[in-house]
Amino acid sequence: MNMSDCENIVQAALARMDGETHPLPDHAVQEHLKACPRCREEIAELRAVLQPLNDLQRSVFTDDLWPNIETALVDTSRLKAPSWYYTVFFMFGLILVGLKVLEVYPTFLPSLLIKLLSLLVPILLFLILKENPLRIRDDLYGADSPVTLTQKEKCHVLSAD
Amino acid sequence: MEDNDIIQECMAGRKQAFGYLVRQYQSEAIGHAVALLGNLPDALDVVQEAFIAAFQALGRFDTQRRFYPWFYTILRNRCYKVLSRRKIQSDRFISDTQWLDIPENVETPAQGPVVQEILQELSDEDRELLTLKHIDGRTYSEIAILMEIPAGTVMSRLYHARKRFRSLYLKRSREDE
Repeated sequence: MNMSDCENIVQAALARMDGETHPLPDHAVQEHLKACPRCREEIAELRAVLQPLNDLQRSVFTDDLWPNIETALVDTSRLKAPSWYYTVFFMFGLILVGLKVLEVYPTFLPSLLIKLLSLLVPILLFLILKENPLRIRDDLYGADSPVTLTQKEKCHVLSAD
Repeated sequence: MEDNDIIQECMAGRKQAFGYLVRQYQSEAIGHAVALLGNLPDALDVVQEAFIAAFQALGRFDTQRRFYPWFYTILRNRCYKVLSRRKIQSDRFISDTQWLDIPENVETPAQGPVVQEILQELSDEDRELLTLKHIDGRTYSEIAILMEIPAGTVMSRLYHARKRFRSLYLKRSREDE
C-alpha cells in the first residue's frame, strides 16, 4: 500500500459518505480499509472534525437590494444611446470605406460621381436623423451646465465665476 | 412565476420583473458573498454590482440553464476580484460579520464561532468549497457547475480542503485545552 492508494481510498470513502459515486469499486475500498488502520483512523477523524461544520447553517440576511439596483439600472439606461444609433454609424462607416475604395480605384466609376456621393452622405444622414448630427445633446448634460444655458445665462454664469 | 418566465419579461423590456429575481435570490447571494468576503458592507456592494451586471448580460443568458448558478459565477468572479485587491493591500482576511448560525438542537453550540474562525483562516477557495458542501449541502456536480471546475476536481480539492480544516481544528482544540 502506498500513500497514493491510501489517498484514493480515503477520497472514495468520503465520496460514499457524501452520497456520491467514485471510480473505485466498493469492494476494493472495503478490502483496503480492512487492511489499513491508518486509513480507518483518518476517515474516522475527518468524520468527527467535519461534524461541527455540518451542524451549522448560513445566517439569513434580510437586506432588500432591489430599490438600489432599480435606481442603478435606470441611471445606466438613461446614458445608453438607442441601439439604432450604432446601426446608423456602422452603415455610415461602411459607406465611407466604400467611397475610399472607389477613390483609390477611379476606373470603377467617374471621379465626379465619387465627389457627389461624398456630399450626398451627410445629406442622407440629416434626413434619417431629422436633426443636425453635429448638435450637442442637451440631455447628456445637467440642467445648469453651461452647454445648455442660453447665451445670456452663460454670460451671467461666467461673470459670477 | 418561473425564473425563465421572469427573464423573458425582462428581455421584453419589463425591468420591474427583474425585481422578482433579485428578491428571490438576494439573501442566498449575500450569504455566499459574506462567506467569501467576510464582511457585510463589501458583500452588499458586490451583490448589487453582480445583479446589475447580470441584468445587462441577460441577452446572453441561456434559458436552458438555471438562473442562480449562472448568476453565482458573476458574483463569484466579482468577489475574487475584491479579494485580490485586498491581498495587494494586506494579506489578512478581514472578517467582522457573523455569517454562520447554530441551530437550537445542536449538541455543541460553542463550536459555531470556532468553526467560523477556522474557515476564515483557510484559503478563499477552501472556504468556498467547504461552505458549499457542508453548509449548503450541495452535490459535487452542483459545486462543479458553480465553481466551473470538473466534478472529479471537486472531489480532490474537497478532500484536501477537509484535511486542512482538520489540521487547523485539531491545532485549535489543543490550544484550547
